Amino acid sequence: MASSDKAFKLDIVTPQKLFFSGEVTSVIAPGLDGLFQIMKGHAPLLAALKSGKVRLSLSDKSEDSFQIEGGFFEVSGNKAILLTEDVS
Amino acid sequence: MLFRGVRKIIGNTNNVSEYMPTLKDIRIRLKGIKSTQQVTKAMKMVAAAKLRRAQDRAIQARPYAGKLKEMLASLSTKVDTSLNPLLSPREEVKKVLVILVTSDRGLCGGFNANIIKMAQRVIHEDYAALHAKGDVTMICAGTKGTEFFRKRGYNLTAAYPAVFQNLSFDSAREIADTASKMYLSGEVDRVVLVYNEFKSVLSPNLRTEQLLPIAPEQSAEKGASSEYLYEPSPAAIIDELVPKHLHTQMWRVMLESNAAEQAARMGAMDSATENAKELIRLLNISYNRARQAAITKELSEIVAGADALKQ
Repeated sequence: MASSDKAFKLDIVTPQKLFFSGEVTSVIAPGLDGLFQIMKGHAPLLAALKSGKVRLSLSDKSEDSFQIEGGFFEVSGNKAILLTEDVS
Repeated sequence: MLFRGVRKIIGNTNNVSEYMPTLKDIRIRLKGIKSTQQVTKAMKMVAAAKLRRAQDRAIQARPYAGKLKEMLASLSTKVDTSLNPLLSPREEVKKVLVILVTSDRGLCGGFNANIIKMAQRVIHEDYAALHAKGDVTMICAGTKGTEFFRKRGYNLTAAYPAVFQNLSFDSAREIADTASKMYLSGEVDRVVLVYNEFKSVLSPNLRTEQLLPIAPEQSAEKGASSEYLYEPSPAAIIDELVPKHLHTQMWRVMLESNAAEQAARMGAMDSATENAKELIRLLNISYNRARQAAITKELSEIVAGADALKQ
């Protein structure tokens, strides 16, 4: 219950396809200047990412992580978009 | 090919008297055309299936490309774009790079012929003076264009034959990076793309557009995104964004061309199948005529023979 209040929508988009779309409670991403974490209600943000690991905390409390090859991260309203050329 | 064939055959059947094909000749011919028709029909079907896949890929690429473009547009209102060489046009264009996207395989109607003609027009008319000095270079993606321009001694910096056999984002990235490297090093002052755009299945659309320098569209609502936090800074993000934008542009163009190629092939094979059908109809008529003539001839011979016996 409580966790779903803290959830926001995240899309991970690549040129090939929509890689991930779902509710998450937290995202840790490798910014150009270092790791940062985003949670619900973050101010609008546009960040450039370097290659590294993205860690998601899903709304059902499980975790997931992907390797990305650089990209961008945008937060606006209650929606986050991660753009990357390659994710695995 | 078959279209020309139709006219030739019609011409022949109209003056049958000149050469009278035997029944066997016609039968062999009919058989040949029927098997050709089967091939063209199968190719049409394959092209239709591939077209659907190509369209799907193009649609899947859209959200990414759209978002990048949006970011670029909103950022370019905040950053002095003249600081990024890829975004600022040069005063004098002395050298031009033309990137031509063709297909790998033929049998797709005028698909390659038209786009090659377009590329030649760009080189010989738009940049005639530069071409005369040898300052127009080319990158060809696709076997057909590569063969054409290599044979004629054009200045090919790089060629990517057979990229469409296994179309991947990596090849688009490679082409875009080559182009931007050449632009940054001052080898060229402008990069132009020539390709077939996929408008609809029926209408192919030849396009020429400028890849570099990028002319970002200024977003209309300047204040709307001003409360954004930028990490590390708008200028740093735009420096990251521009190469990625080029990759997706190139990727989009290749996907478009791929879809347009399949559409063109489908159209060409469809009309070839139609032409074969028409040919078969005409040959059937002359076959039946020849058969009837043979029967009549035989009959009259029998009757004449019987008459001769009576006497």
